[in-house]
Amino acid sequence: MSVVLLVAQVSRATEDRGFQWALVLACWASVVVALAALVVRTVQRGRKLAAQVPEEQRRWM
Amino acid sequence: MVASTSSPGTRILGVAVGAGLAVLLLFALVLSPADAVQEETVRMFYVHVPTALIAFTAFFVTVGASVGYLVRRTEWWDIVAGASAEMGAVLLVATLVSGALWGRVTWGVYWTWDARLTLTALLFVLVLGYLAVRRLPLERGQRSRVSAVVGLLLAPTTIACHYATTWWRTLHQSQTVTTTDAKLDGLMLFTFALGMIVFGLLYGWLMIHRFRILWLENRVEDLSLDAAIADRLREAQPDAPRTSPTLTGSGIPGATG
Repeated sequence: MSVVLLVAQVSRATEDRGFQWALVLACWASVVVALAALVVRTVQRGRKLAAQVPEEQRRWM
Repeated sequence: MVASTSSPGTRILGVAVGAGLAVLLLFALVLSPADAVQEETVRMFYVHVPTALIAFTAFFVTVGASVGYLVRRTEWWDIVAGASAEMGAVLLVATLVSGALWGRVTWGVYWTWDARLTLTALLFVLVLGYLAVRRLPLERGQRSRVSAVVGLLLAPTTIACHYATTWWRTLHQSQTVTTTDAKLDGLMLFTFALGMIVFGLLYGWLMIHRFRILWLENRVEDLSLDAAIADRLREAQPDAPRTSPTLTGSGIPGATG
């Protein structure tokens, strides 16, 4: 009986760990992907705007 | 070379941020140990707390720059305020997402209306409102003035949000690392410090780019206005020489090349 309980406990713990890891990975992945998208968007926007402004007005960059 | 908002300094900073983020991921997900109580979920701590603290810092920069604008009335202060608020908003989204996922494991719910979370939501709505005000179709000086006044509202909200766990009884845990008796040690403390450095550098790097973008937006707005005025003058005096300012690229209303 105690062995069954122990197995059940370990199984439950493993399941919990899996759920925890799923949320941890979802958390980090969403943050990294969002930041990468922001970087790409920022670079694209910067290029588009810089192309519209004469060089002498953005020489300080 | 392609025109952009990059410079040698920002490129070095960008490489440092990319490398730092890779190392942070290694420490947060692999090398740092699981917590005795929170187990694996503690790994969300290394993104949740640094993004929150850097977001708060960003909002204080916005407040400081708003005060600077109201005193000096120069474009530089206005743009610093706007760029910092944009970065703060992005980092606050990361805080809210990581906090919701962490809350699901720790509290059993993604969201609850306790003081800290409610004030964070309020802060987010406020900064979105601030960014919306910055897009109002007003004369630039008037828009900057209104933005600066709205930006000042970020100060009390950010302070209340930061001290919410001290001032009220909340479900959210109290301060872990900003008190004198930090409850972290070893690899956990190192990973947290690394997270602060990496997200701090990320804030600085993107802040420079956002600053330059806002500055360029103002220049494009000026050039468009000059071109439109020149067009109207030419319409009124058909024989007058073409004096429209030259715009490189295309897509600007009134650009005459």
